[in-house]
Amino acid sequence: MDEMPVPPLDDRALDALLTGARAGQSGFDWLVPFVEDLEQSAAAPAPVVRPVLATLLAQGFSTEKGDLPATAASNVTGPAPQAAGLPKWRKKRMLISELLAGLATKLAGLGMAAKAGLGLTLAAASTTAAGAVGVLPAPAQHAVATVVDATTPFSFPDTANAKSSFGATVSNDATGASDGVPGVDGKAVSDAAKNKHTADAPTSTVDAGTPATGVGANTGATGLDRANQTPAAGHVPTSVPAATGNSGTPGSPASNGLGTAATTPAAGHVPTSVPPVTSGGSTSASNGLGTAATTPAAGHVPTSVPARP
Amino acid sequence: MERKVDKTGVSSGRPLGRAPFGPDFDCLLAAAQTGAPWALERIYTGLSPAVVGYLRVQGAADPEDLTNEVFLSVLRGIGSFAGTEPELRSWVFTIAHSRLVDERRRISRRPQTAGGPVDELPDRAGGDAEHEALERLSRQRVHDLCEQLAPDQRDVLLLRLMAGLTIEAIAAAMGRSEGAVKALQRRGLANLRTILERDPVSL
Repeated sequence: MDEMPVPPLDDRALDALLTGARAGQSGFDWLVPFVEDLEQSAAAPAPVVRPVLATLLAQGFSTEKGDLPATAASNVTGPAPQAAGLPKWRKKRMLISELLAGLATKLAGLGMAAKAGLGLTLAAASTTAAGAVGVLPAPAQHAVATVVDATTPFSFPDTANAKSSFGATVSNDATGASDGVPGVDGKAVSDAAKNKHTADAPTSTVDAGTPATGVGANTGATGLDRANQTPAAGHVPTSVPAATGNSGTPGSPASNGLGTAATTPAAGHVPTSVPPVTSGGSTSASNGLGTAATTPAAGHVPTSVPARP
Repeated sequence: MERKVDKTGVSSGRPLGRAPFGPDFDCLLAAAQTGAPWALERIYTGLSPAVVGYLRVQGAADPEDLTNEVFLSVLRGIGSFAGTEPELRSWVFTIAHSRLVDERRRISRRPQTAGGPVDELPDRAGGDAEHEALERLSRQRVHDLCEQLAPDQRDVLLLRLMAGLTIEAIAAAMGRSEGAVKALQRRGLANLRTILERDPVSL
């Protein structure tokens, strides 16, 4: 489409034409019929109103009720804050999430060296806390306790040290270095060993004078006392028979055992005396007939011993 | 509202219905901004014919439906408007053009101006047959002329001559610079003059 040369367009002249000036004054005489046709096109009746627009035209809107036109103008500063806010559980969860997110962000921003240092610090703190409670394995507990004892005024339980010194304690007890009395106190050693190796009492020390508690931690001075601490206490005799000649020095008058036998339930069948012991060959009755004649079966004992062929 | 044109091409009267409200515009706008139904209806009846005519010439698929959408936006946003009557008219046509562009993008087709405007004219009950015939002829001529213009030139000329927008307003509505709009207007007028001189019967 070829363009014909057009005189320099005076926009004010065109405005004059559009606002109703005389065509001869605007210089756009040729355009007037087209503009009039456009006017005819724009002179159509108002279009059919759809229901939504009809409602708006019929009822208008109230600025006091916060309808859309008024709301748009009053909302320039943003929506008003919520009066009710979030529930507490939601706030708490959001707070925790924000804290974790902040920590993660800061951690992500650290360098490799800083991350490594932070990890070592956390590991050392965790190990120290576990050592304070005494739940570390024995070697680790010993190491932690040694470091803490050396670097701080505090002392942590050291089960390794206690176990390693157990033998020395027993030795001192045996030599009398610990209490001035030579000999091993078996009960104390037993109790101490039991306490040392009981899993639920790892922090107890070797101290025989401190009685342990619980089943198995018997502390009685005698067997009866300790037996009475067991579930079978009702069947334990109340006293121990006094020591008699059955365990005494040989040659004593009551050393023949009859006294002890007389205290047993079979006392009625115990002979009242023991035949005197004679040394063989030192008497005439060395052939045994003499001795047999002193027994309750003396009536059946032959009077002589047949001669040897 | 019609403009009288004598045989010498001298125009008189109110051109193109660009000032339908007159000196009462300030009171009318204040009432419309408070939501008064009478004011809203008067704005609609004063501007909707030009809008639906513009959309029809531009080849909108459903000019009346699109006009309803345009005035829903206009009346809902009237509370935030401040300006004179020409500025209100310019604002309304800017919204109409934006809706037209949206429709073109939505249906993804070139504006179809051929065969539509004359056949789709609404029937007027009790109208003058001669007057209706002249209107149909006018619309047919406008349609034929616009069909020979480039789309951008047609947009500029229709917004300038039919809607009465200024160069600045057209540039804002089309997203172009004022210089580009002036160039499009100059080329469109040159093409239009060529068409008219080549075929004077068309008008």
